[in-house]
Amino acid sequence: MIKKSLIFSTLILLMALIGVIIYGWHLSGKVEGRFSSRRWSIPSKVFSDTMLLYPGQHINQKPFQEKLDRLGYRKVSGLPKKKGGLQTNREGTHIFLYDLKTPWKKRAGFPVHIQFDSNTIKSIVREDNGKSISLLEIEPEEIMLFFGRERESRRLVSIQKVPEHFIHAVLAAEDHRFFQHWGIDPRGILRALITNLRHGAIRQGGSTITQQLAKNYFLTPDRNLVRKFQEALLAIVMELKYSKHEILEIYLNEIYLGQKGSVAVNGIGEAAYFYFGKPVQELSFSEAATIAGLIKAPNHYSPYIDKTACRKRRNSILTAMQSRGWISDAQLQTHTKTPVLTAGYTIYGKQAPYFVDYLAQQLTTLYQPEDLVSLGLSIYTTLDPQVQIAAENALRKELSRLEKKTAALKRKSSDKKLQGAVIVMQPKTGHILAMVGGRNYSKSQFNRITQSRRQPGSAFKPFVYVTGLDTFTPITILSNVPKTYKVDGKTWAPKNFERHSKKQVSVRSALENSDNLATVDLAMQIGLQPIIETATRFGFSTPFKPYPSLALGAFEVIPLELARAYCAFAAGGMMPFPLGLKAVVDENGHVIERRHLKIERLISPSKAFMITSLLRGVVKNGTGRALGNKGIRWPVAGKTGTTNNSRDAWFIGYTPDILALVWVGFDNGDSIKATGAQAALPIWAELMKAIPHQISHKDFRVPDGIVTRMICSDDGKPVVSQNCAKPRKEFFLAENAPPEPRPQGPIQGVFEKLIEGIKDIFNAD
Amino acid sequence: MPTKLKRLLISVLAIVLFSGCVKQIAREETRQQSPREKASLQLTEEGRQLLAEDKPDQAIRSLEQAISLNPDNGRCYYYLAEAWLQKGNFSEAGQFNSLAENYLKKDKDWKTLVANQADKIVGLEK
Repeated sequence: MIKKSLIFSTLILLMALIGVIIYGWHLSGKVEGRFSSRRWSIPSKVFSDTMLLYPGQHINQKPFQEKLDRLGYRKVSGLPKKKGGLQTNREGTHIFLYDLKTPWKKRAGFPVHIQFDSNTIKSIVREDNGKSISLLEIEPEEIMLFFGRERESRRLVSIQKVPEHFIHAVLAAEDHRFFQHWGIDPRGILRALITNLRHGAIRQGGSTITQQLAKNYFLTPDRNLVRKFQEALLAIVMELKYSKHEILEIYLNEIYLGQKGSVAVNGIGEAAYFYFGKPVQELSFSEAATIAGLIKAPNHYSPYIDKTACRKRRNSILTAMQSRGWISDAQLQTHTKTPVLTAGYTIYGKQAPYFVDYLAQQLTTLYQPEDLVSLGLSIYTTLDPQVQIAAENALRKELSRLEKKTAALKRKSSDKKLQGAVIVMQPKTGHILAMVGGRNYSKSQFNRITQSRRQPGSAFKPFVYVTGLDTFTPITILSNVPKTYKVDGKTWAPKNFERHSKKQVSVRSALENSDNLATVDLAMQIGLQPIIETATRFGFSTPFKPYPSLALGAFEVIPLELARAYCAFAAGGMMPFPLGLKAVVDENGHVIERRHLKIERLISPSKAFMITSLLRGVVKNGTGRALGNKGIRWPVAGKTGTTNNSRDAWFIGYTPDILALVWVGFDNGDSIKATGAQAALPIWAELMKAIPHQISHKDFRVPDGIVTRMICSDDGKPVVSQNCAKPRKEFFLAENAPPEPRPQGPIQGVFEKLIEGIKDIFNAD
Repeated sequence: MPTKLKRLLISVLAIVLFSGCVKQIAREETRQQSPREKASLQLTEEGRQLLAEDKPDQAIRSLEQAISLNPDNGRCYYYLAEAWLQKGNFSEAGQFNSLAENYLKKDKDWKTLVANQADKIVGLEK
């Protein structure tokens, strides 16, 4: 009987053992599968462009200081001694720069002193060697992370880069016998059991680091015997298959270490930045002990939540390290006295949300959405966050002003509110510096820069005028009287905005004052088909039809295409490809995608200059002249646009460096009861005043192929005698300029030269 | 010729010549670069060095930054054309060469360089 039951028990035990071995083999496959495949989802990060600083640069100090804050620079008392430190005083700003790491440049951080003279950078000096710096590049801002469903942030760290004192701190906190046991630690379990029995409650866990990893990596958080058994078995399997260092590396990158808003901070790499603003390699003993102490209960011991509890926990880790002989008594004394100084943080937000959506649309043509949330890509863009913020602020402020001024523009429903959109570009490079697709992204994600189609109204007129430049000059006279046109059997009778306009106007005057009748007259003389061909060449995707109303911007266009087309005027006839995305870098630092500026010659530099000259007139004397009253005192070319019944208000203005398009309107086409000059132009002015670092104040360069002639303002004809009371200079294309006036007498010539010489001296700036 | 008239003529001539000199000096002064232009030229030099190191992508980045500071910096376009030549894209090189030509035609040395570059592009395109 006894023999039988012994055989039975042995059989049962054997079967159980076989079962355990089979299960262990099954787990082994599971572990291998998990470890050999991609271990973590790392969100991709979107970065802005870098910022260039140089002595003599105009800069608004407040937005600049806000930028430094967004970049993680924190005020310190005294001169900053560590990366990320900042001190601002009357003389300027002392910054200890972070490392710069972009696909194009790598530079270690160093201390720098930026001195200001009012809103101009006076000097930039390296504080470690006293040398002046003529050009300083500030690192890009992180503007968004593509999170997966888990909303985890993580920076992977190789075990070779983790300092020994950090490993000791973790072992002291969690499993000091890690390098001695084989996955489970019977001594540890026994010690925990005794401690818990003595206190009559669970005070200590017996889980090793390997068991913790098994639990986090493979199991659900349930606490029962079966799960504990699985955990132990998995730990043994992991120890059999992988080295201690491999297990520790995975553990250190896996562990949950706190919460940044709604995003989980995982792994020591991310935690080192989140709590102390530096890489793991640079953590001090006390900082390492602080992070190690968080593993037990990250949100309880977080220095952002409870500094006292955090310090107490850190000191207990330091004491444990000292008791293991990992730090000396003297080190213990020093580090336990150190305060816990955190770096501070900004909760992940989505800066420039419409721009990021536009970017994401391009990225999805290159990568799968699941790759974006897991591959840890670094996406570098052209965005200038200061311009973006200025554009958002200007739009918000001016739309509110309009609603206050005209009560009829107010709407109760948030999705019916007055809307606006802004895009800012560099005309020569096509870089998109800012994109605001609407008034409030949380209420409406519809991007009115890239997705809407609106009538451009008079903002389309420059494309009519540029088509006619071969035959028409700024002084050509156009008919400005009402006419009726037959279109598809219907009559169409355009009107001027101003009721009492002149019957005949020059080309320059017609564009400056945005005369509809004269523009249609010009368009009909040029022919509608050539205008359609011009518009198509300028990149509009609109299916234009040869109707006379084409000349007045009756066909809807995409605002981004309109901004891009104007870039060609600002860039000497070269149209750039709009660039938002600059480069994509994989998690190993390899550049996997690059975008460079691409340009296309559309018109000659001289024709582009002629349109710019006419549009300079719009701002100096015409419908855009209000800019002068709004503090814009540098050369700007621009065009207003207002559509029928004031459904759309536009202003597109540019300098040689920068171009911005502003649109204001209702999504449903209600009238905004204001013109482009009243509604859109103030937004443009407000924006430009806020971004002096992007504006050179330079005038437009006169290219070859342009000649000047003196024109008599009274009759609009070339000056031929001394009888003209108000002569003015006019630009012409060399090929169709009026003939030069006859040479004058020798004495008169000498004096003219003398006066010209003196004038030039005073005009030279 | 009476002495008085001679003196008058010499004075007038001197004024004219002097005004010309002052005009020349004023032009020299206006040619002095602004801080922004200087920064742009520094980036152009960076771009040139990167090209010498056979790093056209990094060079293009520096040159784009140089353009953003001074779009009238013709040398940038010349080096951009060089960068595209290094990358083997002759049509892009041609676009930037034509821009460089617009901006640098008044500088004798640069004009020659740009013309040689244009010939090189044409030759390579064939």
